[in-house]
Amino acid sequence: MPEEKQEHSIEVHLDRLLEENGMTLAELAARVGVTHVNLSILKNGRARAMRFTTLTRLCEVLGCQPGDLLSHRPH
Amino acid sequence: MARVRNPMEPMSTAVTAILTLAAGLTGMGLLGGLFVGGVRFLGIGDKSVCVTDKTTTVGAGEAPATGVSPSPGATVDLSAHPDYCTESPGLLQSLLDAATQLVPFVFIVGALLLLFQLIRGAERDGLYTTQTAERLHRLGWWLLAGSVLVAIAVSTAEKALIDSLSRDGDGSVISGLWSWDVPFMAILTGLGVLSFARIMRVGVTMREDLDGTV
Repeated sequence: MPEEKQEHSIEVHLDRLLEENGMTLAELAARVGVTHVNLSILKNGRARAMRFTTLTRLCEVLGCQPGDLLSHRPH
Repeated sequence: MARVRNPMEPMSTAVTAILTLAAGLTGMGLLGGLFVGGVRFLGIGDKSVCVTDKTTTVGAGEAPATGVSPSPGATVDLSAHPDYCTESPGLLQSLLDAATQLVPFVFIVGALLLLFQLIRGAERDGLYTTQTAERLHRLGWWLLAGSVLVAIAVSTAEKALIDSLSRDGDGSVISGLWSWDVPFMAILTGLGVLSFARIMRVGVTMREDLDGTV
């Protein structure tokens, strides 16, 4: 099984959405039910995968669509 | 939420207890063998040496033996393996006798120590880590290769001892290489542990993926 680390081209626009909603990362983490550390990993583009349940809660709390949160930016 | 049991138990407690007991008994045995007369431990301190020739069977013939009466329709086989003993072993004989007991003992203690290292390492570094998979791999090879080598070594030592105590010995220790008991259970266990080490490596990759999952 190949063990090479795979880079991705998905951008996470959490900073912009937090600013639009006037929310801090800690507040968002508490409302979504995910740890502050994990949300920080997501915000900094270091997450490898996201559960649909997490995506659903983020969209509910931030009042957005998945496409507002994530975008594909090929290198 | 259901209580998660420690995956290292009860193995951790059992291995720690067995190793502590083995260390205590070994220490007492060695000290007793060296400083107290009459104490024997793993062949050290033995005044007499005995070995069983498992490759030879001696029958009692058809002479009826007292106290052995098969019921009608049943037969009794009075065959036995000869035991060779001497009350005044030479240095080589004493060493060979000690080897037949020490070698398996070292193998078992080595396996327990590797298992102890695996358990303590897993408790410290985590279960699904590269280090744990590596230690499991090491234990598997110890069981697989070690059990075979121990069986051959013990068989060869026993053959050499029998040759020194028997007038019928062919003087060839090499025959001990072909008459060893195959340790099937240890071989199967070693292969199982090696396979589990591979499964653990897959688990390491899965855990690393999960670490980055939000």
